[in-house]
Amino acid sequence: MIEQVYHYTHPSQLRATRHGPDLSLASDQNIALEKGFLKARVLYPDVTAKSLRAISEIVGARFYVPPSMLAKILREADPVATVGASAVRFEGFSACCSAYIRLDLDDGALDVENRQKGTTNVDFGPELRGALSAVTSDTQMGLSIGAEAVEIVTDGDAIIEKKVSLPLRWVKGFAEVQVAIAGMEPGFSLPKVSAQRFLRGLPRGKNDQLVWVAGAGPVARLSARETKGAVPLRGSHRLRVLEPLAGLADSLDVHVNRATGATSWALNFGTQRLWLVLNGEPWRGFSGDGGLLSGIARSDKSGVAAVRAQLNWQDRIDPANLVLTTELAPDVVEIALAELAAGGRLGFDLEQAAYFHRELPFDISRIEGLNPRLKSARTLHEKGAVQWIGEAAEVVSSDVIHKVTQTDSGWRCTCPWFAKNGGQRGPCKHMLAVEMDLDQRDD
Amino acid sequence: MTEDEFLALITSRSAKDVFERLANLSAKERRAFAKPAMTLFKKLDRFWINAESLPDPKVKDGEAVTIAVLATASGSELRKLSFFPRPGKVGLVEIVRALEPDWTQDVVDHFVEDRVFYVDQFRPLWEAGLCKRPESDAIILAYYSRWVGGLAKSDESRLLGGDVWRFFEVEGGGEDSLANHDKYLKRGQAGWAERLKQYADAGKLDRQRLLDASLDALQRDFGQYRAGWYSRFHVLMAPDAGEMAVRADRYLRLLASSVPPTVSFSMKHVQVLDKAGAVDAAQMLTALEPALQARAKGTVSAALKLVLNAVKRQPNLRERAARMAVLALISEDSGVQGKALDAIESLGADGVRRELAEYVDLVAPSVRARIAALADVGAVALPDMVLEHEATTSRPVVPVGSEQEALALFLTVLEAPRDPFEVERAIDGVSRFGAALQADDKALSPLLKRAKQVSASPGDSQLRFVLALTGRALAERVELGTLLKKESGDRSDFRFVSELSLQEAHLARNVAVLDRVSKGLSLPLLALPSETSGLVRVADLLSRLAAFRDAGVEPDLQDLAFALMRLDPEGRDVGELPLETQADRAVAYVLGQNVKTGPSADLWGAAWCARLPREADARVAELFAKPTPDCGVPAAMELEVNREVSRDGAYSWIDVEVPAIPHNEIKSRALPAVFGISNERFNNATCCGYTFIDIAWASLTRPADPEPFFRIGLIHQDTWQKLSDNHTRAYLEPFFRPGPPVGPLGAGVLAYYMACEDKSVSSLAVEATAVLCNEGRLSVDTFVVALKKFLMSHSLPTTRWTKALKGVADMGAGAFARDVIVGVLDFAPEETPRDIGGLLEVCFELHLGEGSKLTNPAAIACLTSIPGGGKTARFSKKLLGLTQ
Repeated sequence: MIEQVYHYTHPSQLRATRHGPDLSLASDQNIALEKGFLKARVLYPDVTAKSLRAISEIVGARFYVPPSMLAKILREADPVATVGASAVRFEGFSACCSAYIRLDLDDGALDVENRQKGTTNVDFGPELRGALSAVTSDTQMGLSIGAEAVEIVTDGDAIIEKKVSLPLRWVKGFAEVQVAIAGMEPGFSLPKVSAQRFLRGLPRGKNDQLVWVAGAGPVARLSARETKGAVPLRGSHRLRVLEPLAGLADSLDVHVNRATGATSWALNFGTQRLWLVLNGEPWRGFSGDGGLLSGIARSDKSGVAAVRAQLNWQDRIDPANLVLTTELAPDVVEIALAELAAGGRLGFDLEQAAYFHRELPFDISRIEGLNPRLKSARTLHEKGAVQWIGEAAEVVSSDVIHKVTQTDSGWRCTCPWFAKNGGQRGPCKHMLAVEMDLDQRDD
Repeated sequence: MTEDEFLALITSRSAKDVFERLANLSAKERRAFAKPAMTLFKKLDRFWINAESLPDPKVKDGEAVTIAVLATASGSELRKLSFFPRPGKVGLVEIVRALEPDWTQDVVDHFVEDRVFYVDQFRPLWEAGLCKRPESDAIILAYYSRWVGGLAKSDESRLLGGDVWRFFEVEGGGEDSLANHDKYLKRGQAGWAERLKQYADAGKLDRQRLLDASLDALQRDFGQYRAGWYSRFHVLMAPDAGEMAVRADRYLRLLASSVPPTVSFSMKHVQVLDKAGAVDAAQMLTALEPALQARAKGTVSAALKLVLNAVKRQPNLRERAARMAVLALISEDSGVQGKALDAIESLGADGVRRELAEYVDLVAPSVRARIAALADVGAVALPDMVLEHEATTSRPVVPVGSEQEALALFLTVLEAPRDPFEVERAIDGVSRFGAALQADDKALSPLLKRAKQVSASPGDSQLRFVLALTGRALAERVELGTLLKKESGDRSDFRFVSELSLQEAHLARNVAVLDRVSKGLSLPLLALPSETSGLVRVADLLSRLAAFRDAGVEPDLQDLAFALMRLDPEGRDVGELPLETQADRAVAYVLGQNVKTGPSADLWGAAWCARLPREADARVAELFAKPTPDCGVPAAMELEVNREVSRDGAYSWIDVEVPAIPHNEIKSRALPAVFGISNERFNNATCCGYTFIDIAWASLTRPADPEPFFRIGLIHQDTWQKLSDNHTRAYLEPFFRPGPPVGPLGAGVLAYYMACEDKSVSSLAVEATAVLCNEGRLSVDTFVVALKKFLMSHSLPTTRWTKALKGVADMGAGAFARDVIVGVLDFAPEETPRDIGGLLEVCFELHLGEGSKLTNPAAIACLTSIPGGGKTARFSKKLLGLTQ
């Protein structure tokens, strides 16, 4: 668990001012700033307000409640806001880690008066959520992120302190989801009215059945069986948050990661986009997917520092450019980017098909060493559990000898974890141990 | 005091004595005994809760130990306990007052936040001034959790002093909410809504603030069920015209609520305000946007009326109003779409042609031409709705090619055996590569560990248990029979799987497979399907039998029985066959030769099922003690659907039976041919199992003749049951494989399952129907016969088939759905199913969509005489208008 303490000088508010309502988002005061992060006028207030409301809804949602966990855990986890050079992003995670939501506001969505690059948590109370529903298209709405934007005098007593015990897996999910997004391919796209019809047609209640969604002409069709070009969808109730927004969007763009079954559902509003990324199964958090593990397991970390130095809150990170500026080999840059994404320092933007820089406002230094699969793999490797018999490796683990073999589709292992998950959730600890062993041999 | 003396004190003296002694010690002195006190307390707790052995030393008075814990533990130690240890013999107030622990506030806050019932337990503490009352939501939830009639005076003053306003902020959940409180009152009891109104009427609470607070609560996105209390309370308060007028913007804002009943609540108030002219027309128009896109037809219709009213009051809003009316076209209901077009026509469509064009492909056929004309677009090109399924043509099932592959596959199916073809490939892999795997010392170690774990806790699936036992025998290098003997404690009556389950036959087959493996033999599984239809090709079976013959091994009769029942009806003309063994004769018999039958009843029952044409054969029948269905005597099975009513007439339910004639009276436990055709009570549906995995495997038993399997599917279904992984979906699996035309019982499964409450089942049945229809495997006539049995039993709502057949049409089988509805329109007026209007509407829209006429004389006669008004009469008339 990570004990996250949010300090807000005031609650976020939608305040009436003489120029119209002003959305004043209180930023976490763990980060000291001379000025606020952002002061801007919202150009499409109904879309932005409803999208922020959707973020708040996802952050407060738990689509899967393990019997041993209390629903109240994480109910106070707050979204993260990143102000970049040409985009403002709000992102959040459901408490169960199976749904990730992000609103990307391009410059065309905001009339920016003042901005300062950085990332912060923003306070999103239930009162604010209610107030956002009152915003309409003809509302003149301001948006500010920071402490001083609120005119109410604040003193020490007024500071809001929220202590939230964030499970490591929740924070890890923020990093891991970016890898799932980076591996996505386009599924299909629906125009506004069809998107609305599709979302309205989804079952109302909780639905964990696997269905397949395919674009068929101007409509999307749900099928219980896999059909040509269809994307998998389990837990379709998670998409309901998009329904009130679909009528305002130009299109609903769907992407899929065929390897993991994760899907992205993006409402495109032109100058802003709302991304809802769902893991393949509602009871499976992104945190456990392990898509980054092979990259992290490799010993060559030489590129990380050099690449990190070049990030500079860029909204679009071009690997080719990094190769030029750092003079590192392309594969070293790629590994470094994966490593940085795993550390929560990069997000992935499907619209631009590129990483963007943001630093998660959590103490993530502990996470990297605490991945249980990676830890177990290191232990196996250090114990010398990997033995090579020709092309195959044998890994001795708890008196059982697992055989790890290379096939056309990647590594295979005889452990139950691999038997259950296949390649969907990254390598098992035995494969990782073998990769570490190979890596060491190469060195 | 030493630790021993302390332990002696708390184990030998009464709670009161212990309390008095410890109260005389300082906090520091007491704290030194925290560890032994807590250790003993936990031991006692395990004894009380888990019935573990009595702690040593024995304890005279358990509450003495509880007091010792309270006297010695720190706040964090107490918080770690899953409950607060509260003695009954000494009051908590007395304890806290005497001991003055430093944890009081901390512990009270923690436990009150944890569970509401602690509010009552700790209330005496804050009433005595020993701590502050926690101000968490739990305090408010405590009000919800008790009947309002039992409210104490002191609570009432706190309630009226401020707590009441938090009722409108604290939603509650689970059992503790205002909605739940007022729902489960006994007759004559007043709820919180009435109580608050009484307070307002008596001037104890501010009426205006209550009205505002209830609207505030509705704005808070509470869950639908709990939000309902606040709208009902607001209605109970009966705001007058003036009170409503000052809150006009609040009602308008609530039209955007995500809770449909809240939207209709606010719509009613807005309608009243509109009538009184107490709401600004432009403001109302803006606020109506979400209501125009609501799912509830009534809400949209009301919103459309308000749109027109707004223009009447402010004509310059006409174009904006037309744009708003277009939004209502998103409704799936053709009636609402028609009303939206009416509104657009009256407002003028000139400014909204582009918006209208977006809906042309998506509206009902009855309004499509009209919207196309308004949008000024050309001929409407209907979208191609047919789903492109993975080809249902048969693909070969490829056996595993190496021992590594065999092991990997077995490990995979051991974790998730949902695909029966993979299970059969895995057993075939064991049969062919098991001996080689056993020769490798290391290879089987992962299987050994995992199979042991799974066999210890296999879950509900019998198949998984069978696989785990098979895996264990393979990895432990023992015969499966020996392992079973050991596991059963050598009891002959011990059952590893349910009585009459097909898994018992599966287990028996695997015993033979492992027996061969233990002898170092590598032979194929006879019953491995050759292709994804589930059929075993004749040539494949003969070549597998030849391998057995070459190895000098007699085929296992269970394996052969399964193989015969999976035998392809095609390619059976193979000429002369060897007739040396019973297995040879059974194969020859199935392939049409006249041979000597017997002696194994199990095998010959299967052989009779596989022989074509299926004709009674006395020689096979006499192998069984009594006439047995599908064992020499064809089983006659007919679907019967009835509506059963409880004695008092209060409840009714659907009763689906498929009696088989002749009655099965045999007690054979592993006879797959009989396929659970049992008339013994409780045994009707057991043969296929109770999980998706088991049923899916059973679906491969008779792929060329799946009617007995569908019989079980009809008996097994519970139409009201909703499950997260509904196992009955597996009964629909054969429809998605290449197979024979759907028979009467298969059609019955489709008709029944599409009306299930569980959407995961009904949507799959709808899809199966559309797929089968598009493949030409399901005839309208067969389906109509089955559907009529359900429809005319009046035991399930007709609306379920209305939705289902619309779904079938949406998946590209519109003509089929239309013809099915026409086909069922053949009943006497007094037998008319309730709510048939929806079905007629779908039929009408489909006729328009397909551009067809109604020509069926029986349907025309039925529609002419059909009673009832409303939608039924309207669409009867419309359909009759399509006869020319």
